[in-house]
Amino acid sequence: MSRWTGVGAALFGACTAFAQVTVEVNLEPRVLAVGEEAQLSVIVRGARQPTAPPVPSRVGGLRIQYTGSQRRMTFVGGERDEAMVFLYSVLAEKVGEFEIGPLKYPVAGETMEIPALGVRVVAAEDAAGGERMSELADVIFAEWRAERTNPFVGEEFDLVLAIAYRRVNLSPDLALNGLPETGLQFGRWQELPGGRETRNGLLYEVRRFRSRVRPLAAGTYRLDASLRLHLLVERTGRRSSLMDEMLRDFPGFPDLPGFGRVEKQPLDVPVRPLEIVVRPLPTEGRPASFSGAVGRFDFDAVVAPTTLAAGEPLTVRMVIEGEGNMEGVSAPSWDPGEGFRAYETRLAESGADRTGRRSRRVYEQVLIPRDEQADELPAIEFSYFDPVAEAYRVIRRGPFPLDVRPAPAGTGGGPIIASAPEEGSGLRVNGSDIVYLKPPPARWRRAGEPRWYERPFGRAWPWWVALGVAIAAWYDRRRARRARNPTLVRRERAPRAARAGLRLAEAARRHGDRQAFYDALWRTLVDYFGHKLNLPPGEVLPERIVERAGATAPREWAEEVRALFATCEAARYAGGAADAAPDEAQVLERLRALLRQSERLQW
Amino acid sequence: MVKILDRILRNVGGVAWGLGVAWCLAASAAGAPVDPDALFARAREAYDAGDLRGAIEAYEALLASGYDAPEVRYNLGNARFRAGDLPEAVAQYRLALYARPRDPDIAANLHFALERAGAVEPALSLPRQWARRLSRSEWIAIGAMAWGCLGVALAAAFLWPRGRRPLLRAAAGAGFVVLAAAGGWLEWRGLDRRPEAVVRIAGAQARFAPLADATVHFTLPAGSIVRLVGHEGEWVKIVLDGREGWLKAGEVRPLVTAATPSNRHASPRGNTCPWHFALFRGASCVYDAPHILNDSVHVHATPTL
Repeated sequence: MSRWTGVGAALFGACTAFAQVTVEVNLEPRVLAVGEEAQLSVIVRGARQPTAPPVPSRVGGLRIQYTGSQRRMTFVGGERDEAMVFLYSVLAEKVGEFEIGPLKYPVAGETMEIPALGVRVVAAEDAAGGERMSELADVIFAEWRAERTNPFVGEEFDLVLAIAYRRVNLSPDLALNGLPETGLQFGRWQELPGGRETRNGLLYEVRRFRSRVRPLAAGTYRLDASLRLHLLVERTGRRSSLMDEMLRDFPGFPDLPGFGRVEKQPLDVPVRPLEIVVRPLPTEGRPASFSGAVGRFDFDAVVAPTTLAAGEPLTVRMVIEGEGNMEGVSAPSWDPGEGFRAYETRLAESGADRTGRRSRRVYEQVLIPRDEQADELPAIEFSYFDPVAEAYRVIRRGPFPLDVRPAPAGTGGGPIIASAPEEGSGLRVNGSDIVYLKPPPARWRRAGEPRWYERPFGRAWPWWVALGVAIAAWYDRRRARRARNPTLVRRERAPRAARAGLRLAEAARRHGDRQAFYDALWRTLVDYFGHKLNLPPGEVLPERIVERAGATAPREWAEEVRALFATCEAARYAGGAADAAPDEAQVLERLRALLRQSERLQW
Repeated sequence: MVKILDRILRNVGGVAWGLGVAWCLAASAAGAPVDPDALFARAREAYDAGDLRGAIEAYEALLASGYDAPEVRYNLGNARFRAGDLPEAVAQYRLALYARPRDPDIAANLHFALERAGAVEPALSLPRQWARRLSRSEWIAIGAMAWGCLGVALAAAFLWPRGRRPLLRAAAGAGFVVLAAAGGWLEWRGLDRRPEAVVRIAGAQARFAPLADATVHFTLPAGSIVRLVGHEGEWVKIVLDGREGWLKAGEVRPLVTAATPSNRHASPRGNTCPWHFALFRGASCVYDAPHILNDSVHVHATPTL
């Protein structure tokens, strides 16, 4: 099949008086064989966030499906070209000539006219057999195959979905839509082994899926479903790369979406409808013991022990086995008579064979003969509806003779015994009456009264704990950081050392001890800048401090550092006369100002 | 003669208790404060005197006044049992057991009432049995304490690096307890969303579908404890020992109380309403339990093959 590779484009000047909004439509190719797909792209330029054009989903023998949009940006000659592209797949289903459009497309406040695009669909030639295919159904179709189309309520049957296809590749993932939501209960879908079938002389690959269906209510149900599957088609917009060539033989690689030489295209295939007429169970001839079992069953009952004393328990074991709605089967309902105390029937075993069609249930019921007069258990009856014979069947087992001895003296009527024997523990003696009343509670609580965990503290408790842990974690991290970085520790210590030194200096000034005052002043300067700059005491010199402060430090600050150091040295070592010395309060205030300014510097 | 006198005195006593209870009920209805101890004592005396109706009314008056204690429910269960109302007795015992899961008296009476009704307790898996050994409040208390221990251990591990290893081990242990408590709490929380219920009538027929003519799946004796998992119109979906079926809503009595604060769902109208109440008592609030709805509808429309 030859493809048109040229762009069959209908570029029309849809420029409006307002703006540079243009719409360009491409369809490639314009001639298709049945079963082939073309790509329709609508390119919109100059509009902000345009909506998808209203392309119909079906035109004649074409099925059109929106596959997505993409924003395209190109640079040509230094100019940017931005466009929104809406993509559609056009699937040819029938032979003929069809036209898509004309369409009216509202975009950017204007209504654009998209002209009609002609498509010609020709019959496909099968290269192998030379057949001509003029319908999509010749390529792929799906149909139901029901074991029964007129079942009774409760009669389970197999429903098979068969998907037949030829000359296409299918992705494994499928989805089924549109099954009836009520009336029929569908079991788990299970894929059966595939195969090949011929239909109208054509050979098809067939995939089959089976579900066990249980009719829940009488009525007519139309299985008119749609199957969403994905065709694996060869990429058209991307040439095979070196990577593709290298990995082409790697198992599964060509099927990976986004990789390889194929891509997945969704396709909805209608499943040929099927009507299931569910018939109600006949009321005529329905036995009283019928409890809903539909199918073909066997029933047996065993009583043990048959020799016992009055007041001792015996077990009736009822086995139901067969094909049918075992889920709907309940234990046979029967009355052992007044001579027995009866407990609820328990489901002791339940299972099915490998195919799931034949299943088995075992029920057990505990009975206690009240006295030795209870020498026989009446017959047990199990009935079911046979849908093949369309008649009710009744299976009866018994009666069962018993040898009941009188109860041993002093045992009275016997204890109350639990009806559900616990595994490994035998029957449980429970007592013979209820326990007496309880005294009033120690504290009455009103219904609306909040409990402790509903009060504010209780509600906040988890958050308090989390906060405590967060604080501890923060402290631990801080401690670790300080342990790794002694410079940081000293820097953080500098203000505290300065405050301590200032307190000493202030105390010395109040006592009039000039020597101690200047010693404290000196110590303050050395401690502060030593910690701040991580310098040993002997290296704390004005020039070093000014140098570390860098060029960002104000010149006045540098002068003040030098001056204060000089003042301290003069007072401590030169022994200047008291009257020539500066006022100590002023010196102290200058030092405070210097320290405040130093804290603001970027070191 | 003595017998006649005794009978007269009993009748007089019954009338007196009846009047007393009626007075308490009237006081409660009038909004007057109820003395719970006095009402409880009257109920007990009525029970001892054989006036089961008076005892039931008194215990129910206590519940109606907001005094929802397990002792009240237990005693009410006893009165109901003696009066022959086994399903309601089972319901009261079960509700009392929710608050006191390890109380042997409540468990024994519940078991006895179930035996008498011919029903059995629902079988629970081992983890759920463990979760039900403690009440919701107990699980919350344990979880809160374990959470505190976890926090203290972690904080100490941060603050005291030398002891970090044993402290982290202790924190792991506390974390395990927190997880276990969360599991226990979730089990009780599950009862809010999918409560248990007691079958009211004997021979209730659970059907395969919420339709009157649907096939009967199994039959339940009165007093059976089932789990409500959904609803569809006037039908409720129940589960018993792994078997599912549909019963009419009127055939079961849900085990929920208005006192359960978490047993509420916000409705689109902004008010809150337990969905069970909306379904079973015809309340005017909006049914709002999407998780229940999802479970109750047979969705087979889009099977993935």
